[in-house]
Amino acid sequence: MEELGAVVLGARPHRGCQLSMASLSKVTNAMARPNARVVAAAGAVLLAVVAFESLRLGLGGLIVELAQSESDRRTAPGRTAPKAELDRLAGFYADSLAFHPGNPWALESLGVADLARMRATRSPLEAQALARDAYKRFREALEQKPASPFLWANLALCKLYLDELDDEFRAALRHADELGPWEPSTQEIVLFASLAAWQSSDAAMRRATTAVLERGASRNALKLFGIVKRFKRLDLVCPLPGYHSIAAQDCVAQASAGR
Amino acid sequence: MRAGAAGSLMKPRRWIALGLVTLQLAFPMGPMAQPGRPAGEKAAEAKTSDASGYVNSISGAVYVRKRDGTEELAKVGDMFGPGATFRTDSDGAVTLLFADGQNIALSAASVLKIEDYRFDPRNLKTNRASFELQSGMMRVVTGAIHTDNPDGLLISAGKAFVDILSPDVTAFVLEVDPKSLTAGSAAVTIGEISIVTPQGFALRLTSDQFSRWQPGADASRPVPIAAAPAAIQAAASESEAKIFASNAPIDIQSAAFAASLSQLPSPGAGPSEPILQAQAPQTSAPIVAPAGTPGGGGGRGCVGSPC
Repeated sequence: MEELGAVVLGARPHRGCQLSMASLSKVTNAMARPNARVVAAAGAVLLAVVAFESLRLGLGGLIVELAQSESDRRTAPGRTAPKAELDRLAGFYADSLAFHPGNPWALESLGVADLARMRATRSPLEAQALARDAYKRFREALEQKPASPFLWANLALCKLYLDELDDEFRAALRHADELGPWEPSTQEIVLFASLAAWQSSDAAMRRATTAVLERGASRNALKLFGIVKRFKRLDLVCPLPGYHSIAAQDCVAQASAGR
Repeated sequence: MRAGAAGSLMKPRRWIALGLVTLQLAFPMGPMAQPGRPAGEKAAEAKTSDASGYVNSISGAVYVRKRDGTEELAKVGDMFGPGATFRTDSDGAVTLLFADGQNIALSAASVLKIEDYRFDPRNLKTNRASFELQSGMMRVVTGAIHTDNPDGLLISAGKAFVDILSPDVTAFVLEVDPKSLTAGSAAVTIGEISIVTPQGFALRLTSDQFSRWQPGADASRPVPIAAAPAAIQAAASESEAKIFASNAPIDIQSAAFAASLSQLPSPGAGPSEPILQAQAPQTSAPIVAPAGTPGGGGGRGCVGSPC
């Protein structure tokens, strides 16, 4: 340490040339030892932070994954899960967000759960609040995944349930249609929301609705026809050749009733 | 001699006892049942004997304005008559049960006036009722007045009038825009109704249909309730679940008493919840489900990294 001080401070320059390799090594080691400790300590801290972050994100992801599996296991097609079950599921997603705030997957799942809870509740105030919550979650998720047609479609659905058929609603429908023109679930929501807002839609939106029906005829005809039939809008599918095989009977019945 | 004196002494007591027994037999329990009831209470009983209905359940703040103009906080078990106006706060809701079995639930921030109500189970054809939803939202499940004398039931929502077309129990939701009496919406869960809108259109709605009306536009084409705003969907779902097993008339006084008892703190007498309707399962299935990102959305295989 004294040598080091001498070298650094230049106390004995006359002996500089006489410095042997051994003493140089000693000097280097002496210099390196405290730095190595600092580096090692910094590395350990960094590793701990990375490990903690990984654990946090991993736990967040694991909870979402478990909740999703639970949801898939319990939700048979066409079955409406009881509200208590949905509340529990939403609790899982909320826990996941506590570990990893802003996780778009958890936000999307929680938004979907909120909409399911909205359908299950019998309180108008709660239904309104849940639709609003779902809207906020899809909006937040869209900041990170702006190219997701599913998020845009779900956002449009929220706007419909909130009775806000404004420019944002129309833009959400348009984005969903443009980003996922061949996605069956997007087609269904776009068609559903467009038919619900038919009265306030413009000519372009109505043309886009017909285009969704035309595109969906090849792979999703049965589902789309079911939606059109619930809205009693057979006039939209009867002229389309893609639906002749499944809609013919209803179209004939409607035509004869019209006469 | 001593015994004879005693017998003569007992005689008046026997007479008194005999008199008391005779009195008791002639007026059984009379003195116990009405021990000096105040005149006000007797008057109240006379007043409530023509009660139209009672408050079955409440949440949040709900006020009732009586015919004389006084307004007070409503509570479960309160009976009311024609002329009463119910007003709910932004967090309030109230369910009213009427003598004919009709059931009206008022949502938050709503005003309902019971303009007229007369129900006599012995003279069904003279029964009548008139309700005016002045603002907000209510759900209605009709009762015996509608079934026995359909023309006797008048319901208005803002400046729109409801005509119930189905002969049996009908359940529907009405909403009046708080900003304009000429705008509103309706959803039918059971039966069929026709609405004459302020714009002069006749709007026909059947089960599982929703429609709205507003100034300067045609009445909208009916759509499924699943496409209605969230609040309407919830109210419709509630009305679907609260249909009476039968729309038989109710003994208002005893039902109101039971409802009041149910509000007593535990361990109180009476049922734990107000006696109400048979619970029916929710029947309407969703038309579309919200979209989820395939393979993820909920996170499967995608957590923390883009799919």
